[in-house]
Amino acid sequence: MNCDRVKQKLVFYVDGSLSETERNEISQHLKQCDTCEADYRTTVEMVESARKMKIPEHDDMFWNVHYQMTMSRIEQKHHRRTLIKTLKLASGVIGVLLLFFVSRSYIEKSKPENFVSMPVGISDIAYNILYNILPSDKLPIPVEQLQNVVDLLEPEDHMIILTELLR
Amino acid sequence: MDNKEFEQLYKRYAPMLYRTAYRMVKNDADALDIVQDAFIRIFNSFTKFRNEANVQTWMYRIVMNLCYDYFRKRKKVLFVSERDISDYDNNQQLPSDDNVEKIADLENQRKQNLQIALDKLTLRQRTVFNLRIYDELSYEDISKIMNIKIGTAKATFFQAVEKLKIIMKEMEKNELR
Repeated sequence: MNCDRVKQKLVFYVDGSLSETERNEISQHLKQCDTCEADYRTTVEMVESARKMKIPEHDDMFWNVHYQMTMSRIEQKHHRRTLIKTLKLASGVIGVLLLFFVSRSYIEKSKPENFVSMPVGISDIAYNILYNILPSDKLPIPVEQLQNVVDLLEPEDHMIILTELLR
Repeated sequence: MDNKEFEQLYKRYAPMLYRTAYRMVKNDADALDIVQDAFIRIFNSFTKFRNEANVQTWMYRIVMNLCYDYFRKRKKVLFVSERDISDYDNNQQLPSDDNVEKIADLENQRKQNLQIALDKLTLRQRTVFNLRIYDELSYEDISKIMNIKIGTAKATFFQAVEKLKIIMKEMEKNELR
């Protein structure tokens, strides 16, 4: 192995990640080459010096407290997330209700002045035909009379009766 | 994941992850915050991660991502002030024998130089160097943590060590002048 090749591999020789064959080849080279041997020493010193660099140590008691703090943050986040979900759901429901009431009041306002409210018992179809298509003064029979008639019938029959009345 | 299981995981890995974070951010409080944030993420997504063999790599990756976020947010230039180093080293002083003091001074000087040199590495070089030298992780694990190829991890480590040697040599030369 030549010097250039050793230089490329020296770092991995020091960190112990080379194969045994490569290690042996480099060991042999280092015994014969002073330049590479000096480079090897510098690398080893640098790595050893780096490994000796110390950082603050915390004991078990500290980590217990830190764990409790972490758990309390997890719980806080969980509560916050639940609260946000609830608020989102509540705002959705409120939005739907608001939309319902606003649209309902808009529909009420847009009804014609001589609008007659739907008598009890009359079907939706009958109501639409009688009161939204025909003005109340042009109804073929009075509303009360009509109601008496349709009350006696099934909703399916309303259309037949109405068709006859409107003919 | 139940709390008992989480507590065991926490006690086993928190000190190790703290050391890794500390070497990156060089600040006790910030490193502890990173560990806390990492464990919150671990707690929330542990159910998605059941492969025990890779738990450690996965946790390292979370810590590294948080360290990168930290640098992105604060745009902080990595620098340990000389006062921090001397404060710490003062607490580590050896007995007052002349020869021992000289050796200790040399050793401390080298540590300071190395610290300054480490700060001159790119973030990627420093990450690979830290994971390989301090955490003693394999290049395969480093590549998984950093989402790079094994060859790239090795090349980055090589570049980091070579750069450190050059910087330290320059610093030693300047001290002798």
